[in-house]
Amino acid sequence: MFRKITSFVLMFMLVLVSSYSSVSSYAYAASLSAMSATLSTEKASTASNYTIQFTTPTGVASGQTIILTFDNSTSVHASLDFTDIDLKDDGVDVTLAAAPAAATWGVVRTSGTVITFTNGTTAVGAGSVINIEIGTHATTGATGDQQITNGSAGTTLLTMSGTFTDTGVIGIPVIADDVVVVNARVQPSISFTVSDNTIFFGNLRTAGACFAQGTDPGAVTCPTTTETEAFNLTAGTNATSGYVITVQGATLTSGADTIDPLAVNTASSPASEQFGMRITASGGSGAVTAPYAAAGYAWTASASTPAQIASAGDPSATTTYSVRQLANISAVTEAGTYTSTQTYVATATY
Amino acid sequence: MIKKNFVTKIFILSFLLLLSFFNAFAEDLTSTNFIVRDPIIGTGGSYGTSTNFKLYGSGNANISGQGSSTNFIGRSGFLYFPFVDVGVLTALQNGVDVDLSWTVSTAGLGFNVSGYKVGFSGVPGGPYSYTTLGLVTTYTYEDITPGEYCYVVETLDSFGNTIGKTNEDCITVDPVISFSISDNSLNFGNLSISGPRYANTSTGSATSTVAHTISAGSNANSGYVITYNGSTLTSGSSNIDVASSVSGDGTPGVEQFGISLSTNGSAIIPIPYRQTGPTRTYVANTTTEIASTSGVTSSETFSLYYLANISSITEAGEYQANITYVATGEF
Repeated sequence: MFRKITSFVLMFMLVLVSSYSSVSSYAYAASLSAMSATLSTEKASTASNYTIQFTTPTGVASGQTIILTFDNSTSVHASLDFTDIDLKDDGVDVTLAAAPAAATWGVVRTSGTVITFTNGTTAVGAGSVINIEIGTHATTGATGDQQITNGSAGTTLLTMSGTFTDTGVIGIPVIADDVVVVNARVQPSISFTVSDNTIFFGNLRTAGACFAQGTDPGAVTCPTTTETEAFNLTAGTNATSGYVITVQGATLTSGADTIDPLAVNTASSPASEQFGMRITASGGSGAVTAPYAAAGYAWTASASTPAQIASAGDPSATTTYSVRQLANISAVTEAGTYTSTQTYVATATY
Repeated sequence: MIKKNFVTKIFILSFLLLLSFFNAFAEDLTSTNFIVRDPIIGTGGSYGTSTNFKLYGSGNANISGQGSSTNFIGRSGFLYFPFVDVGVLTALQNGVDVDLSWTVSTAGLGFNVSGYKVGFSGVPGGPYSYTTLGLVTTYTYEDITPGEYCYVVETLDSFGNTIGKTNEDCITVDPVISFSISDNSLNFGNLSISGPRYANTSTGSATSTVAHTISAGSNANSGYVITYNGSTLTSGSSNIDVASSVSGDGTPGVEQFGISLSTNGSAIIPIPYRQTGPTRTYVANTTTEIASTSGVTSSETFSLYYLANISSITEAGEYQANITYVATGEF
């Protein structure tokens, strides 16, 4: 009898120890750490890319699963598959497919709220960082074309579970609208000035070139015999396509008599009739238009036809155009008081 | 041999029976819900002393009853003892907090309720960490990280001794992250080369003003991060240059688009975005962090400022920037 009792007690203890051993070797569920879920947009009912990251204290053994479960009406697109997902183990992409095979993980959209990952044969070590990208930003292997649609405004809970035994829950904010639209207006602007509205040559001469000046010299022979600025124009605009400056007006005219305008850029030639203009530009991005930019002089406008003298192709800060006007006469140029009325116009193109 | 054993057993039983006659039995006291067996009060035959007297014990006595006069009632016996009826505890998650509420404890016959101690533990059954309170019936544990927590409330008498304990209420605190944006449409109005413009929900302002607010809070263990991502102010192919750590109103006459923010809480705002710096910055089309916390925080409010300056050659047009704000908890 004693032997039977002893035998029974020993057997009981053996079973007890055996059970304890098997329980001890079983991996207890541990809490995932450093969990986060970053969305490209947290707007309710809107398709979004999801980047989910966590650290698994236990690791993922061969054949074990990681299951992502969303609540709050979150919807995993029906066509979402492994091509829309990237998975990194400690920063290294693993190969995904519809089903696990060798080192390849299997990925299945289990339902509209559940995605299941099944490890292949390569175990994920304890303490590994798992990073999962779901959406169009998943570009490894193939670029994803399906996303997850956010649920209703509130907190979405993403539960991570599976046979890998670790568990964790992440809170994801979902709001009615996460986009702030900022509006501003830049009003059209253009500046344009003419520094002097009356310029003077004095008495023209055949002995040498005569240049206009801003002050009236009186009835004296041309006091300005070297090129000088008669007046200037300034222009600037924020018009997208810049501006154009034109001049319209006849050449120097006295009744029916005129001084020949220079149709092309021509150097000064005293003793021959010449009326022309040359312009230089400084500041901004405006530029003088040919034939007024070269070293010689020209006058292509008429009383009825404007001629472009400067322009800017883009928005330009203020450009100063220095205008020089030349008049030469010949021996047979009719005596008289000559005038040229010139109208300058700046036009912006927005 | 059999006869001898039988005689021995009879002898032992007789002896035990004899002993039982010498035991003193007190009368049981009963009520609807309990029975007090053998209620004997004993002085043990000894005595107690003080300077002026001695009280000699005279043995054990069976005492139960009460005597009364106009001014008092004297009660003695096992049916009369101090008592406390403890209330029922309920624990509920409220955002990042856990709210406790319990019904009032009532006491009498020598016990007076002077206050309560609330205790919490990460596992059922404790041990608990206690906080002593006055005569209140609610308490809030603030900034609680996700997990399971168990709570109890102890009732304290006049001396601060525990005289009762409620039920233990264990709850699971879920991950929580709150995030909201007060306004989704802002306006600068007409930008100017001669002075700064600040966006608001109306037509813009020439002086610094709060455009909108963002509120955020979370019980995430490692806090949360708020990022933004969006274009700068854009009109077709034209856009306004971004600002990079500009102070105050920036530089009118120079293209600048920047944001800055302040908070009424403890979140960390990176230097390029601190309104109190003050610096204003914008990084276009790149997810960029503008605020973060490192632990559990109840909701706090961020005030955002938007600054724009333009130059003389900033293209005319209607400009717009779509900025997406995202909050991510780090649990």
